[in-house]
Amino acid sequence: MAEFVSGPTLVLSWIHSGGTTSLAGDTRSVQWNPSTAYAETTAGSDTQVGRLPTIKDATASIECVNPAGGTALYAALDSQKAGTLIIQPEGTATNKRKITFPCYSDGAQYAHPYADTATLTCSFTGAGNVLNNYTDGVN
Amino acid sequence: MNVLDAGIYSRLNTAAITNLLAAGSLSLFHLQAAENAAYDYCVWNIQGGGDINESPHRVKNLVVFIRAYSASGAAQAGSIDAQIDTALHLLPLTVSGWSDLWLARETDLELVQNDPSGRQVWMAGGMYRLLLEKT
Repeated sequence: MAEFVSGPTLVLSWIHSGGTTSLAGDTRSVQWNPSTAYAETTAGSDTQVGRLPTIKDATASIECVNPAGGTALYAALDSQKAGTLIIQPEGTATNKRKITFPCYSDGAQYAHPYADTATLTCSFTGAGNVLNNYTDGVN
Repeated sequence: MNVLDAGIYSRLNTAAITNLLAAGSLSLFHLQAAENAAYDYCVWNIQGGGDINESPHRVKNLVVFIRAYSASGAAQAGSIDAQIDTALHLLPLTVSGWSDLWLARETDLELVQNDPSGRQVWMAGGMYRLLLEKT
């Protein structure tokens, strides 16, 4: 199985009440962070902590260069904005990975250095069945 | 980058600079002065850098070395360099097919050298950081 570099093929979209915002053209990196909670099952004469997985959770975060005049993007990534983040690391070809993540934007955070490219970072937090559970499947 | 060289030449080819040179705009050289070129003159070259490949945008991060050579003294080389600085520092450069994101002087350099006849030649110049985005 060959390795791949996600940059040239990554497709990243944020579908929200204002429309669909394509982010891939400005993206420097994307992180997808699924996680789970555990119930501790340690008992009796156990010598190690026992755990059972209970409920899933996930967050995602992106870093983008900050497009000039990107007011629509700023509105799209405002805090508490609900939407669906679509992450397709290898593009849209059939059977390539597709992460569908209903979530809230935590609010984009902007950096404007004097002598470098302005950037934004934005985290996304899932809400489970309030919006919908995430899926990690294929195109 | 030919288009970059054209942009730098165009920017340096201003009376404030060329009036201080031996042969006006004919004293502006890319990489190396012409053989037997009369002093004073300017030379520039890309000193380093290239594509940064940090996002899908194509961005060049270059350091361009632009300097003046004078046989009449360090002060004269410095005067030409000051005019180059005035023409470039924090002033967007026009480069065909590219958008200027940043142009600023970063490093000052000066030295004196002796040509084969023993004559002293003074150099004054600077390294300029240039960020260009493909349009």
